[in-house]
This record gives sequence, C-alpha cells and structure tokens, in this order.
Amino acid sequence: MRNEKRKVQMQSAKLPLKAVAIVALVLLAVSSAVISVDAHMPGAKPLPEFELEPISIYDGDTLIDISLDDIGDYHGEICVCGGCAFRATQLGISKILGDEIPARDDIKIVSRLPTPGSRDCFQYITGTGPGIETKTKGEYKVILPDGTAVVNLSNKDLKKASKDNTLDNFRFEVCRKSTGECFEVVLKLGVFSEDYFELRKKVKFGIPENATSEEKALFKSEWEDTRDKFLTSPDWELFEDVEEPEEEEPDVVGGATFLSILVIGLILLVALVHSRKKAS
Amino acid sequence: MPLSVDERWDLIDKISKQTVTFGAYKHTLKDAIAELTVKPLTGIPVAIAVIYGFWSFFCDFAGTLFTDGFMVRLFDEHWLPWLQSVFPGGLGNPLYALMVDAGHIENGVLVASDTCFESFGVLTSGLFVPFGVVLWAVVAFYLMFAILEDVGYLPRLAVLVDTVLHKIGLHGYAIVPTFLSLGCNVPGVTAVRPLETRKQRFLMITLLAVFIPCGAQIGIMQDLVPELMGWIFLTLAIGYLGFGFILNKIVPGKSPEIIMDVPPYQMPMWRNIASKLWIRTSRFLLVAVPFVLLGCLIVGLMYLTGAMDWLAAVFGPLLMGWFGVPEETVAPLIAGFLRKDLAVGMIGGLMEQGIMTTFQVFTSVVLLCIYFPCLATFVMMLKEENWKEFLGSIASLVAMVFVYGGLIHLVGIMLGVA
Amino acid sequence: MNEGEEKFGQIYFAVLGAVALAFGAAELIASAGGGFTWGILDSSGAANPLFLSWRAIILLSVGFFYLSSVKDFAEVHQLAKSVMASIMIWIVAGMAIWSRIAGSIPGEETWFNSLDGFLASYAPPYCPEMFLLPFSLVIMYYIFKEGETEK
Repeated sequence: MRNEKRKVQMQSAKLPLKAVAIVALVLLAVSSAVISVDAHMPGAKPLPEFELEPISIYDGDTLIDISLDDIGDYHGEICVCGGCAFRATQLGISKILGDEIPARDDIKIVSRLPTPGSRDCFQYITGTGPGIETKTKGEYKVILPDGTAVVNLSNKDLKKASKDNTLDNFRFEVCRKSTGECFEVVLKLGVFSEDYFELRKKVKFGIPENATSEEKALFKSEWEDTRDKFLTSPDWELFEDVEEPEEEEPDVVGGATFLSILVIGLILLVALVHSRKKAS
Repeated sequence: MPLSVDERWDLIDKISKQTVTFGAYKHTLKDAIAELTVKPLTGIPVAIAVIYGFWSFFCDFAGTLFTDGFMVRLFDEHWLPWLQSVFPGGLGNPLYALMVDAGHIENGVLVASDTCFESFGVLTSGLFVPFGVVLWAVVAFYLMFAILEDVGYLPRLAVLVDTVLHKIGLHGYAIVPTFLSLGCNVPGVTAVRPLETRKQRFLMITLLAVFIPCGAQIGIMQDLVPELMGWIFLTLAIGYLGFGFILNKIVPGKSPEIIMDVPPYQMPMWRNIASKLWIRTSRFLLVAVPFVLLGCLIVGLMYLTGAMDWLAAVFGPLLMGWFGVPEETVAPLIAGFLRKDLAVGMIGGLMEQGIMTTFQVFTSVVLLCIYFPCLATFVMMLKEENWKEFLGSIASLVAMVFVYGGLIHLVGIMLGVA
Repeated sequence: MNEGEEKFGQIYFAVLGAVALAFGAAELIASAGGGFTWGILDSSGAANPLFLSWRAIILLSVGFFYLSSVKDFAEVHQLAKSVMASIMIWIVAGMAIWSRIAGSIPGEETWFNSLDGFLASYAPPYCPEMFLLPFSLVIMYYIFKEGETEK
C-alpha cells in the first residue's frame, strides 16, 4: 500500500515532464507531417509517462547529457528501435564503466540492428551522424547476425536490410576502446510479442502478402506497447544478464517496536488522564 | 403591608449583598483557545491544520482502507469475473452489456473489461460506484463533519472566513452550506435557508450547485486521479470566489449581517455523532443508489441504440474546440445529469483505455463538477427557489460553464499542456 | 503554576518550537524537490506531494506558536498558544498513525495482511511530526496545572 503511494507520488512529480513530453509530441506530430513519415508510426498514441536518466558522456572536456528526448528530436520521434538502442547503450556503459562517465571517443558500438531508429540513436551518442556538433567521435558499426557488415547506412539501404529482422538482431556490443572491454547487450525473449516480426514484414514490406487493416491495427498497437516497454520497464525485464533487484525485507522488528511504543504510550496516557479526572 | 418602591430597593440591596459575590471574569484556558481559533493570525494556521486532518482522514479511511484495501478486490477480482462467467448472453449480447459488461474495442476486437470502472453494467459499475467507493467516502466525510460540528469548531470557521466571504456578498455562515455540500449538495442547498435575503440564497445555491463537488464525486476523483486533486480544488475555489464576486456585483439585492451563536468548545458526544452519521449516510444512500443504477441503465441504452454516438458526433466539435476534451466525454457528461460520481467513474474508464491526456482528464473532471448539478440537487433547487430565480441560476450556470471551461482550456493552451 | 514550572516550560517550549521550525523549514525545502528520507526521518510526502508543503506550513505555524507563547508563559492566553500548537501536532501525527493503521490491515494479495506485513507497516521512517509527538505531550502537565488553578 505504501509503495503504491510512493508510485503515485512519483507520477505526479513527473507532471511537468509529461507536459514537456506532450508539447514535444505536438511539435513532433506537426513536423513529422511535413517531413517524410517513412519509418515512423503515423497516429501512434501519445508516449506514456516515463523517467529515464540521460546518458552522460565527455565530448573532449565538455560534459554532455543526452536524453531520449534529444534522440527523439534527432530522429523525428521516439520509436521502438530508438528506445531500445538508448536503453542498450545505457546498460552497456554502466556494465563496463559502472558510475564512471565515458569519453565519446572511447565508445564503440557494434549493432546487429539495421534500422534508421537505432542508427540515429547510436550515431547521436557516438557523434558520428550528420548535423551533430561534436569535438570527438566514437565508433559505430552495423554488422548483421550472419556477419555481413552494412556499410551504407542510408534509410533506403537500412530498410532493405531490415526486412528479415528478428529478435536476433536486437544484440548490441558496447565497448570501451581504451581497454578493449566489451559487454554484449541481448534483448530478452518476450519483449516483442511472438507475431511481431511476422506482422512487421506484412505491414511494412507486404511479405508474404499485404496486411489487412486489422493486422495493421494490431501491429500498430504492438508497436506502441513495445515502445512503451522500452520507456518504462526496468533493465532486468528487457535485457539478459541483468539481475532482478531483490525486494527489501520488510522491517518487522522496527514496526513491532513502534507499535508497542504506540500501544504502551496510549495506555499510559489513558491511565494518566483517568487518574487525573478521578483526583479532581 | 405593601412595601414602597424605595423600601423594595433597599430590600433587594440587602439580599444581594448577602448572596451575590462580585468579581472580574477571568478567562479560562478553554476561552483562550477559543479566541485563538477565531483571530485570523492564529486561526488560519489552525484551520489549515484542521482541514489537513479532515482530508487525511478522508483519504486513508475511504481510499486506503476500504476502497483500495477491500472493495476493489471484492468487485474487480471476485464480483466482476463471477458475473462475467455466470450471466447469460456473454459479450456482445445487449442484456449482458446493460447489466454486466459492455466491453470495449481494442484493436478492432471487442474485449471484456478488467475493472468495474470500465465495464459499465448496472450490476457491476452500478454497484461498485455507490457501495465500493462512494459509501466509504460519505461515511468518512460525515463522521469528520459531525465531530467538527459537535466540538464546536464549525461556527468558528464561519467567523474566520467571514471577511473573505463578504467580498462575494455572503457572510461567514455560508461556510456551513458549502462544507455540507462537500458531503452532498442536497442538504447543502437546504442549509441555505437561514440566509436572510433572496439574493444571498440565490448566490449561495448557484455557487454550491456549480463549484462544490460532492463527497461521492470527491471519493471517486481521489481514487482515480489523486495527483490532480490539488489542482482540481484550486480551480474550483478560484471559480467559486471569482464568480461569486461577479454575481454579487450583478445580482440586485442586499446582503445584511446576521448574528451567529458561537458555542463554547466541548467534548463531542459519541451517541450524537453516531446518530447523525447514520441519518445522513442512510439518506444519502437512499438518494444515490437508485440514480446510479438508473444512470448506468440509461447510458447503456444510449450506447446500444447508437444515440450516444450520435450525440458524440454532434457535440464532439464543441467539446474539442471549446473545452479541449475528446468527444468520448459526451457519455460521462450525460451520466453526470444523474450522478456526478458515476460520471467521474466513466472518465476513469476512458483513462484506462488511454484515450485522454492528463490535462484532458483534469479538464473533464472539472467540467463535470461545474456543468450541471446532479438530478437530486436540481430538484432541490426547484423547491428552494422560485421560477425566476431558478431560471436565473440555470442561465448563470450555463454562462459560467462556458466562460470557465473555455478559460481553463485557454490557460492549458498557454501553458502548453492542452 | 509556580516559578520553576514556568521557567521550565519557557525553556522547553522554546527549544521545541525551534525544532519544529527547523523541521518545517526542512519540509518546505524538501517539498520543492519531492521530499527526502534521512535515516528514520521521512519527509517524502504521503499520497500527494501537496501534503508535504501542507504539512510544512503547519509545522512552521507550530514553531511560531510555541515560540510566541514563551514570553509570560504562565498567562493563560500565552499558554493557550502552546496548547494549540500541541493540538496541531497531534492532528498531523495522529493522521500519520491513522494512515499506517489503515494501510496495515488489508493485504497485498490476500484479504487481510499477514502478521509480518502488518507489523512492517509500522516500520520507520517516520514523518517529523511523529518525532515531535511525544515531546508535545508535556503540555498535558500544564493543562492539568491550569485546570487546578482555575478551580
């Protein structure tokens, strides 16, 4: 019950953030109507309330904070792949560096996922994409699960390469170049629904046949659900090799102590008032 | 032998000298405390503390203990699934939809509801709203109200807010009907009678009907959107004072002073409190339950016959354009004619389906408070006011809803949240 | 009350008032940032962050009430301020305890809470008013004293 209260409180504390998110979304909606909507999900429902720490990195000697909203702005929207890439990078960095803040040019990311959303995210973080002001650059590569490297990272080529995407593509190696330490972030089974990739193929590529309007609606809602998972679920629910935090043991002794003090105090108080009344 | 006047006076003097002792009255601790609660400098902090106590008790008694603790489990995990499994017809059947669960469309498929807020059947939401949520809210409210009344705090609160309420053509006593209306508007409207002039009664009834949410509604709101409660009350309070000020300027008539009896503080009598609590709560249930059931039935029928879609299509542009709330709000607004608590519950259903932003939820909840009194209050207003005043109340009500609703939307747009 | 009692009351409630003021100020600052928990002192607001600033205002008033009652403490109007401040603490702390009681009875998965769960509902941390509560009870002594002199 008290946890619930805390949750509620957290949500409300985020209210201004939500307001910002809504404004950003309206702006996005307007801008995306103008720009191409190729990889985007038109008419997707608004983002849920979420609270993700930004990724902090050193660009030379400047400390910069990259939030998921920044990446959403860069890409055009916060999508499934962008959200996933952001969380994966965050996890990877914390696994190899702990609380240390990495330098941009010390990060290398090898992604198995050929999609514009994840590309924009990784390029934004490593400073390798077009139109990013940066003093230093990290490294970002796309190598498919079968080992072929995708050299041309244009939307068109990525889209083509992403046709057969499966859960297998959702693996990302985050490395620290100076020490050679790497951590492979692997997405858990069940984050995507079973029919997600089949539906995606039908809806986006018409393979094996064009999707019906019902299938399109289903895909849209699954897409939204998955996106929301990347925004709101804890790491251990999304990725392999992350331990579920243990629940805190309830403090029975502390509670019992307090309760007994309370009860004894109450009895004493009643006795005192009673004896006073009698005396007078 | 009869005494002369002078002799009589002498006799009185003699007797009184022997029997009466004279001295200055010395304030007791009780008197001193009573004084503290009335002087603004000390009285306002005390009032803040008292209202804090009132509100926390209300939230924990109604919300944490009964509604969240037991009733939600009872209704959502036992009652609803049981009815869904035994009631003949099943999803899609008109009778089933009316009585148990209308379901909702998800990805083009009709799915069953998970909660009694969503299901909207006479036997599910129709029972959950009054017995699962509202009853406890009302009990908590009237319990605290009776204690404050019996201790003797309420009249002091009236003295304290006298200055503020004078600005809107009322005086301190108006806090009593206002406070009472926070439980239920019906006794609130009746409590307006001690106000002296027609102007004051008119002002008070109109303000009560528009800006004071009842305990039932507050209970549901607290259950659904606890994090918005502060904003909602703030908005309503601003409306209450702002429109009161304006109405006081336009409405002709006088606002004379009245003398109020402020009794000394005393320990409450529990028998007294218990009987008051019983009378008020049982009367409330008698009024509320039939209307909630009827409301569920009417709204269900309107959905089934397509009347709701038609209304939504007709009023949608107005709702979206002027108030900034989606056309789905039509249904709660219709239910709100009968019961506000039911209507807020329906907004809860819409929230769970994820078709409203936080600001839209906020706006529609506030709109629901102000747009029309519930049927029972409406009838009460008819009884308490003459036709001219009644029409005046309704006209000012409509004007206030449009002005204030539009204003809230405008503020939302300016803040970038609408 | 005699002189010794008055002197003690003055010092005692001056200190209590200062502590209440300090707690109130801390809560007010905390309410801007969503609250804090420090050891067994909890200032994270109950169901609603609004409650935190609300409580802070009450605590600050409590502090001022106590402090302003110190001068000429034995005078009944001055003593009343201390009594009122204590009553305000009782209201807030009483509601904090009531909130624990209300939350301790129903269980998370079952109808009623387990014994462990029930006891754990009363575990620390506690809000500042709870810490002030036992110290504010001292006023009872003065209320009794005053009652005797009134007779």
